[in-house]
Amino acid sequence: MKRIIKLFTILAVMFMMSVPLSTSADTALIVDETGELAPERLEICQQQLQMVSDKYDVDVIAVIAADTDGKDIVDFADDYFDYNGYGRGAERSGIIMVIDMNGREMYLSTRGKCIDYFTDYGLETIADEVYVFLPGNIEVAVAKYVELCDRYINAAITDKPIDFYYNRLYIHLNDEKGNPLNGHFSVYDANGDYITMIYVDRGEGYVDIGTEDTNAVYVIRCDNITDKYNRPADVTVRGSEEYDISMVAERAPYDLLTGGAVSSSSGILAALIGCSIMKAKNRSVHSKYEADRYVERGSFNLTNYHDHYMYSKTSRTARPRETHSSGSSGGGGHGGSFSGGSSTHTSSSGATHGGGGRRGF
Amino acid sequence: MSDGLKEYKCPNCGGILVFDSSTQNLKCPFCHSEFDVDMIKQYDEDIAETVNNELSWTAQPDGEWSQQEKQNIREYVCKSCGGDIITDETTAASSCPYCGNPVVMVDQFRGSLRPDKVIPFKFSKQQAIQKYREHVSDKPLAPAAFKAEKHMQEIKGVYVPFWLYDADVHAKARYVATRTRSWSDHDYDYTETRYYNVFRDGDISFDDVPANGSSKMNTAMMESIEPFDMRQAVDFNMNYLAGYFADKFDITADESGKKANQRIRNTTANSIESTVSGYTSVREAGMHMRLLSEHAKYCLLPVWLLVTTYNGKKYYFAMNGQTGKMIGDLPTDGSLYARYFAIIAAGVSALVFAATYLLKLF
Repeated sequence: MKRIIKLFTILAVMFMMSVPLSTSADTALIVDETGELAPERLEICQQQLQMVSDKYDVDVIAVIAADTDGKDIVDFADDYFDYNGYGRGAERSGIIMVIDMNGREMYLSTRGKCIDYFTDYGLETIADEVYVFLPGNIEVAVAKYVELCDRYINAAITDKPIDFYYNRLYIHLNDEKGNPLNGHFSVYDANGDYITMIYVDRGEGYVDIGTEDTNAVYVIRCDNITDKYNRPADVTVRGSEEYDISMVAERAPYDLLTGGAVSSSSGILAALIGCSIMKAKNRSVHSKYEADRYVERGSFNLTNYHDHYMYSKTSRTARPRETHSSGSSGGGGHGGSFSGGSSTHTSSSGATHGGGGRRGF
Repeated sequence: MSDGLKEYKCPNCGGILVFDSSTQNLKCPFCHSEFDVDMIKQYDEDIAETVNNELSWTAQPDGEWSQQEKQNIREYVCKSCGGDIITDETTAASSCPYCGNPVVMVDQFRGSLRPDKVIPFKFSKQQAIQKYREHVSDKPLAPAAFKAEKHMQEIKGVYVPFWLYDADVHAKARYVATRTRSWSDHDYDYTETRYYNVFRDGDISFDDVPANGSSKMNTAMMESIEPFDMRQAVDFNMNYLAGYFADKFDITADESGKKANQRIRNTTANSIESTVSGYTSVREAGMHMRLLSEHAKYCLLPVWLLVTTYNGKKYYFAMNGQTGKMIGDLPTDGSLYARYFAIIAAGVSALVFAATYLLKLF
């Protein structure tokens, strides 16, 4: 009896050991096919990758490949991720960096939640910072990769994914009665540096400013406004809702200088004309140079006349070339932020992947 | 044309034309224009007939000429009081400075110096003074001194000697006229100018064109009181002169005729040019005038005269004694000018200011 129980226990343990468990704790997040890195280094990389992966419950993987077996690095990365069982949760969330030592390329591929965590812009900026360390300093490249993944996922979770956004500043410019006005505005950042200009035509005008920060602070200053209106005061805005800006301009008070100048010159002109007329009345003596009144009535007649065509001349002038004029801005719309987002493709396994950051080194 | 016959010039560039047998036209070898032979012949004749000239008089008055008197001073004896009257050589009627009676120097009108016609005064002295009052009153910038009543009484009636010219004029005129036409295509604006030879030949007659015959009278003033209506002229009789001043002429008919000719020429040229129509531009290229007949009359015309002195200068006023037309330049009173200027300037400025303020124009 004891023997049977022992055998059964051993079989059970063997059975249990052969069933694959969740690979979380044991997945190789760093794979070095080239043997470049020493085992101690590999161990450090693995720990770094493990930490960030566990922190956010996604697989953050780095693969140093000897070559891509003839595949395009995009397919290689997607397939490596899909067919090696990477990715956590039902969506198999994770990000993989492939460094192809033969083709001298790197690439990033995402799946699951990581598609949204890493936007196209985000992947490009990560690659920009990582590829400079290749091929010489693979360790540092991986460390940088880990650091950036940490930062980017954190941003995506706590705020929004790091992306290149367009903040649209929209200006509505009217007077106190609601009549639309025209104006030129300058936009400055929080440091007082000039960014761009907004032309407001018939009360409406906007500009899109590209930035990573959808909460950026802008200072809007009116440089020029329709005649006879005072320029409205500077406005400081931040955040999407505030980027829709309404400004009301006051009518400038009567311009005494111009009004006075026009009035007095009109007066002087009128006086000059009036006095000249009066002065002219003093003159009544004029020499006569014609004798029209003394023509004997009916005595004028033509006895002979002819009109003959002689010759003609033609001249021509070149017409000016037409120039094209461009239209101006305007159109309906509001302030707000618009982003690039994450583009996706389908891999050979049928899974949806995001990707980017393809760099040669 | 090379056989010694007349050479014809190109109207466009002035080059000598040659006959082109293929087109049967005259062609210019320089500017390549072509012209109909008959048209060029006519053009050439027109040029010859319209050579510019001056109108000149050979006229004599109906009476005979006689030499002007050499003496400058004449001496007469008043028939009423026997007093000595000294006048200049042209005075023909005056009043005696002693007894005030009118005096007529009969000799001045002897023989060839006898006027053909006279227009008697239609306006009395009082009426003349009234006209003068009206003349100065509607002139706001005239100095007040001209409105002084006492001085107006000095107005005097004078018979002024005039030459009156009748003329029949024959004129031949030539013009170069153009018609232009404009059009455009995509690349150019075109203007075509067609040149025409315009010829006019006409007659016109004038009656009684007046010209001042006295150097004592300002010619512009005598022209300004025109017209006189010669239908009311009567044959000369010395009795009309009594009570008025009169002068005989000291400018000859020939001399004053020059001004009359100028007026006749201008009216003739204008009348003829007004018959040229339908062109974009017309330029007179030749005007030849001839007097077919001429005739000058010596006539005395009634004028009321007043001389005023102001600030050391003399100002003359003349009124047509037949029609009542009063003329005479007045000076501008500086202080009046300044006053009116200030009032108008202030008034208009205030108005404009109020308007721009209320209408919010500035």
